[in-house]
Amino acid sequence: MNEAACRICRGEALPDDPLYYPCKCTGTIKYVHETCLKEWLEHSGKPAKCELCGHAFRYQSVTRDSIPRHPPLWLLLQTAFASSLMTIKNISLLLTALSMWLFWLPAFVRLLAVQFLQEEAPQTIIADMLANIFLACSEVFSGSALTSKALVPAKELARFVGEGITVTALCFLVVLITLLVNEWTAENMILLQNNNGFNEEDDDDDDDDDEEDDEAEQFRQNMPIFNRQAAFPDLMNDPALLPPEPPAWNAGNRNDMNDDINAELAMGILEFLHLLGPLKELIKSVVASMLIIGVTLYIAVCMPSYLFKMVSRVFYIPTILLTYFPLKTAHAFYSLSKAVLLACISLTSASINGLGLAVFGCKLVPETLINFEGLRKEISDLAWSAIATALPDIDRTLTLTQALHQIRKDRNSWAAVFHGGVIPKETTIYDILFADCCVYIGIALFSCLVLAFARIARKFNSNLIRGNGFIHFVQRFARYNQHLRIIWFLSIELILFPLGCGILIRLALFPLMSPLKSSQSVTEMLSLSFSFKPMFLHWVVGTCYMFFLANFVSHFRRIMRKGVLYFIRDQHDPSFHPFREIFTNSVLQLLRKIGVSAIMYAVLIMFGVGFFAVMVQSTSYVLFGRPFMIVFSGPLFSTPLDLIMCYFTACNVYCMSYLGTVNETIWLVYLDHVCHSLRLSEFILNRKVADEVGSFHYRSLWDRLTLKDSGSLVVSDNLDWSKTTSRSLFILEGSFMRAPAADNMDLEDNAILFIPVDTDDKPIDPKHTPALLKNKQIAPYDVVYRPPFFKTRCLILLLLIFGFTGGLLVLGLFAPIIAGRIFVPETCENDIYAFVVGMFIISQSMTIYAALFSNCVRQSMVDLSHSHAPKTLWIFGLRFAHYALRMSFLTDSISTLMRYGLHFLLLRVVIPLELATLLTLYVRIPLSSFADSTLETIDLMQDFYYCFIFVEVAFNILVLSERLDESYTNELLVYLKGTINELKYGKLFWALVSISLKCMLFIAVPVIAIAIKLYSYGPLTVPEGRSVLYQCALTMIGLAILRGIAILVDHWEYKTFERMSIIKRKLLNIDEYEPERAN
Amino acid sequence: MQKSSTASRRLLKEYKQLLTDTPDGISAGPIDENNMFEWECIIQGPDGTPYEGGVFPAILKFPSDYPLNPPTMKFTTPLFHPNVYQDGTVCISILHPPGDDPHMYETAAERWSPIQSVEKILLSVMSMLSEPNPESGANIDACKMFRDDLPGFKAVVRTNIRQSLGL
Repeated sequence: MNEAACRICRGEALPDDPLYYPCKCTGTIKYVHETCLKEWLEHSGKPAKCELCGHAFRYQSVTRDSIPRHPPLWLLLQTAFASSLMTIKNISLLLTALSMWLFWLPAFVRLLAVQFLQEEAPQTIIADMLANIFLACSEVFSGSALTSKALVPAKELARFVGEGITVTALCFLVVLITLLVNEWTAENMILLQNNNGFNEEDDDDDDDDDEEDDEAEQFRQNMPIFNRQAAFPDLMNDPALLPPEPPAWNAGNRNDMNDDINAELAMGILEFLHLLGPLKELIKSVVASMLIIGVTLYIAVCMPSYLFKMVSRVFYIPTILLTYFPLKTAHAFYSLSKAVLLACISLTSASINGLGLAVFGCKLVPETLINFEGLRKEISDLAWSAIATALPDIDRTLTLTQALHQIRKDRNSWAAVFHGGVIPKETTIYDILFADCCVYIGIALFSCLVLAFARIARKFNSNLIRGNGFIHFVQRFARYNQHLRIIWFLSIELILFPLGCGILIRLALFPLMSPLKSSQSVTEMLSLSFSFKPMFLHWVVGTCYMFFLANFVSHFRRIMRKGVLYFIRDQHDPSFHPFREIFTNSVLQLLRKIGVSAIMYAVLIMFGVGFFAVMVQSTSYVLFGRPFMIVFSGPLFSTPLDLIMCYFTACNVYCMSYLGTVNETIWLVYLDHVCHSLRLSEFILNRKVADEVGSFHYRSLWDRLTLKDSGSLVVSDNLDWSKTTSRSLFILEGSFMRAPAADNMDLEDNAILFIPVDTDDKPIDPKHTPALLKNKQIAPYDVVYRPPFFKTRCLILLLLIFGFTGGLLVLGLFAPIIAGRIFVPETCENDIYAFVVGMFIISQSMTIYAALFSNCVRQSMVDLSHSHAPKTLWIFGLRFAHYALRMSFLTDSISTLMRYGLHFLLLRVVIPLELATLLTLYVRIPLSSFADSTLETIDLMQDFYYCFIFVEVAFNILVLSERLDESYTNELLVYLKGTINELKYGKLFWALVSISLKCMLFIAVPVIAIAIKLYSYGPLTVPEGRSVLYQCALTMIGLAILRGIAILVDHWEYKTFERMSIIKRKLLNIDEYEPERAN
Repeated sequence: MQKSSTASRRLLKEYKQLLTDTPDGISAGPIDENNMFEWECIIQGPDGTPYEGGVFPAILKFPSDYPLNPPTMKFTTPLFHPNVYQDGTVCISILHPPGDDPHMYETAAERWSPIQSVEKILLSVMSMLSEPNPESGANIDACKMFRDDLPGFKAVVRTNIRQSLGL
C-alpha cells in the first residue's frame, strides 16, 4: 500500500474529502480524513489529541490570499435570486401540502364518513369547536370579524372540514397504533427487514372493493400499514441510519447555495409534518392516504358498530330468556356501537381541547388587529366547549352545554361572569397579556439585534484580512461574540423557555379554572402581570416542568432528525455538549432548533397538561358529582401554584379552605350527594329571605349544588304547603321552618332542614332529631338533620379525597420515571414505541386509579346516605374488598411486567389492555343514560376490563413458567408475526384462519364475560354485597374456562404454524427463521 | 447503512492487506464472503511457550460501526489461559472499547483505536499467549495456577492442546 490512505477508514483521498495530517505521526498512519477523525473523537469522547504521538490536533480555517475583500455583486444577486426562488418554491410546496392534508383529505374523508356512517356522523360539539377554531384563525388573519352573513357558509365549510379532520385524525390514530405494533414486531423479526413489502400500486388497486367479510378486511388492513412503514422508514428508524442526503427534489438546487438555511428550515418543517417528496409524490401519498383511511374508517369505525349492532340483535333473543328486562339489556348492547363512536370522538375532542387552547393563546394579539367582541365570544365558546367536552357523561354535557348556551344568550351576564363583573375597561386580561408579549418580543428583538451584530462580526472575522483598523475593532468584538452567544442561548434556555412553559401550563389548565364565585377571580387567574413574584413562580414551575418533560421527550427526540430538539437532549448521549453546539453550529441553525423545540414544548404542554386537566375534571365529576374547579383565595391568589407539580394537593386544599372550614365543604359535598340520592328536587326560599342580604348565601349554596341541573329554585312570598312535595327542601328564615312531615317541630333560626325520604318517596320520621334541633347553639348553615355516623363518613371522605389526590400526585411525579426506566426495557430500541407505551400506561393507570377511588367514594356515600347504616356499612366493606381485588389484579399485571420486562409482554398485555381500558372507560359513559343508576354499568364494564387483565396475566404467567428461554421468545415472535409471514408466502388461507381465530378470541372473551356477568346480575338492580362477590367468582371461573380453551387453540395454532414453517423451510431450502445477528 | 458500509469497506481492505502480507503463525479471513463482519482466524502457539505446537481457531465478530468500536474475539476450542474466559472470549486491552476504562490503568496507546487493525489484534493475541498477564485475569483458576504453580499450569496447557489436537 504505497498510496496515502486514511488511518481510520483506510480510504483514499477524495475530491471533497481530502486527507490531512493533523499530528506528528508518519508512515501508514500519517493521513486521516477530517470526517473520520471528527467521528472518532466524538465517539470516543477523548481530548482532541493523537493517541500515539500525543500531539494536539489543530484546526485553523485557512483563507486563500486571492480571496476578494468583498463578494462580487453578481454573486450576491445570483445567490439572492436563487434563494428567493427556493424560498418561494418551498413555501408554495408547504402551502400545497398543508391544504392537501388539512383540507382536501379531510373533505374527502368527511364525504366517506357520510357514506359509511349515515346519520351517525360526528356530532355537534367538536364540529362547533373546530368551526370556532377555523373562524378564530380567519379572524386573526383577516384582521376583523367576519360579518354574520359571510359567517354562515364559512361556518358550514369549516364544520364540514373539521369533522373530516376529526375522522382523519382518528384513522391516523388507528393506523399509527397498528403501525407501532407492526414496527415493533418487525424490529424483532429481522427477516422482515429485507422484505420491503408489497407494491403500492397493487395495493391501491386492491383497496377499491370493500364489500368483503371482516376477516378479509382486516387482512387487507395490514397491507397499507405495512406499506407505509416501507414508505416512511426514516421516521421510524434510528436517526443514525438516516440518509444524510436530502431527498431528490431538493438536491439539485442545494449545490447552488452556500448556506441553505431557508431550504433546511422548510425541510425541517416538512419533515416534521411528514410531507417529504415532490408534489407528484405528495399527491400520490395523499391519494394513498385517502384509500387507506377509507379502508381504515370502514374497518375501525363501521365494522365495530355493525358488529355491535349484530351482536345486540343476536343477544336480543337470549336476553329475553335471561333477564326480565330484555329491552333494556338489548338497548344497552345496541348503544355500545354508538358508544364506541362517541368514545373515539370524545377522545379526539379531548386532544382538540389542547389545540383550541393553543389557538386561544395565539389569539392574544393587540386590539388594533382584531375585533375584541368577536374574540371574546370565540374564547368563551372555546372555553366552554372545552369544559363541556371534558365531562364524561354525555347527557350531562348536553345539559351543561344547553345551560351554557342559555347563559351565552345573555351576553351581558356572560361577560359579567367571565370578567368577574369588575374588570375596569382600561385593563383587560388581553392588555396584560399583550404587555407581557411586548416584553418578550422586546427581549427577543434586542437579542436578535445583538446576535445579528455578532454574526456580522464573525463573518468579518473569518473572511477579511487582518491589518485594517476597523477590522481590529471587529475582531476584538468578535472575541466577546462567543460569550454573547452563550449568554443569549442560556437566557433562552434558562429564562425564556421556562417562563413560556409556565405560562403555557397556566393556559392549558384553563378548563380547571373556575369562572364562578369570587368577583376578581378571572382577571387575576389569567393575569400574567410582569411583576417579579408571579414571573418568578412561572419560571420555577416552568423549569421543573421542563425537566419533567425532558425525560419524556428524550425518547421522542430520537425519532426526529438528529439535533433538532436542541434543548431536550438525552442526558446520556455522549456526543451531547451544549456549549460545543453553540460554538460550532450557525446561529440560524440554532434558532431553527429553538423554534422547533418551542413548538414541541407547546404542543406537549398543551396536549399533556390540557389532557391531564380534562382528565382530572372528568374524574372529579365522578367523585364530587360536579366539575372540579381550582379555587383561589387569599394571598396565594395571584400565584400560579395551580401548576402541574403541586396543583393536585393544592387545589384540594384550596377547595377545602374555600369556605373557611373543612367541615363545611365536606358537608356541602355530602349534602349534594344526599340530595341526589334522596331525589330532592326543589329548593324553596322565602321571598322575605331572598330580599335580604343573607340570602346570598342560600343562593350560592343553591348554585353549588348540582341539584340545580334537575331541580328548581323557588322563591315564594307565602309558602303554600299544599303545593309542596316530599322532594322539596325548605329553607326559611325566621322563627321556624317546617315541612309536611315536621309540622310540630320547633326549629331554630337560620336552620336548614332537609327531609329524607325512603325508596318509596315517603318521608322518614325524623323523630330522633329534635334533641339536636332544640339546641340553641346551632350555627348558621349547620346541619340540622345529621345522618348516623356523620363524623365517620366525613373522615372516610376526607381520607379518600386526600388519598386520591396524594396518589395522583405520587403517580404524576413518579410514573413517567417508572415508565421510562422500568416498563420500557433498555434493549427496546424504538423510542416512539416506548413513548407511546409510557403515555398509555400513565394516563390510563391514573384514570383507572382515580375512577376506582371515586367510584368507591361515591357508592359508599350514596349508600350511606340511606339510613340503613349497619347494612350499608357491610355493603361498603364488601365493595371495598371488591375494588381491592380488582386493584390487585392490576398490580399483578404491572408487577409481572416489571419482573420480566420482556418485550412480548408489552405487546401481549399492555397495548391490548390499554386499548380495552380506553374503550371500557369511555364505553360505560353513554350506557349510563339507560340505567337508573350508573353504578351497575360501571361495575359491568370494569369487570369486563379486569377480567381481561386477569386472564391475560394468567396466560402470560403460564407461558413464562412453561418455557422461558430465548428460543421460545423468538418462536413466539414468529408466531405473533405469523400472519404476515403467511401473507408473504401467499398462503391466504392460513392467514385468514389465524386472523379469524385471533379475532374470535378477542371478541369471544368479552362477550362471554358480559353474558356471565349479566346472568349473575340478573335484571339491572342495585347489587347486594353478596351478589357482587358471587358474580365476581362466577365471572372468574367462566373466564378461566374460556381462556383455557383459548390457550389450547393458541397452542394448536402455534404448532400448526411451526409444522408448516418447517415444511416450508425444507421446501425452499432456506433458513428463513434464523435471526440475523446485527452485531 | 452508511456506517456498516464504511466498516465493510475497511474490513475488505484489511482482508486484502492480510492476503498480500501475512505474518507468520496467523491466518484470518471472513467466513462468508458476503458477510464481512464475522471472521475466522487461526493462531499458532508461539514457539518457546507452553502453547507451542497448538493451533487455536477463533471467531472475530465486528460491530457495525467498526472501526469506532473494537471487534470481539472468541476461541472456539478450549484454551487454558489467564486472559481467556472459560467460554473462549479473549480479554486484552486492545479489544476494550473506548471510554469504559474507569481505572485508567491502560494507557491510551494500548487501548482500541481505529488505528489498530485485525493484524495488530492477532499479533497482540500471540504475544498474550507468550506472555500472560495475570494482573487483569479473565480465568481465575488459570491466573492462580500461573502465579503459584507454573509447572502445573504448563502441564494443564499441554494436556489441553493434546486433547484439542486429538492426540
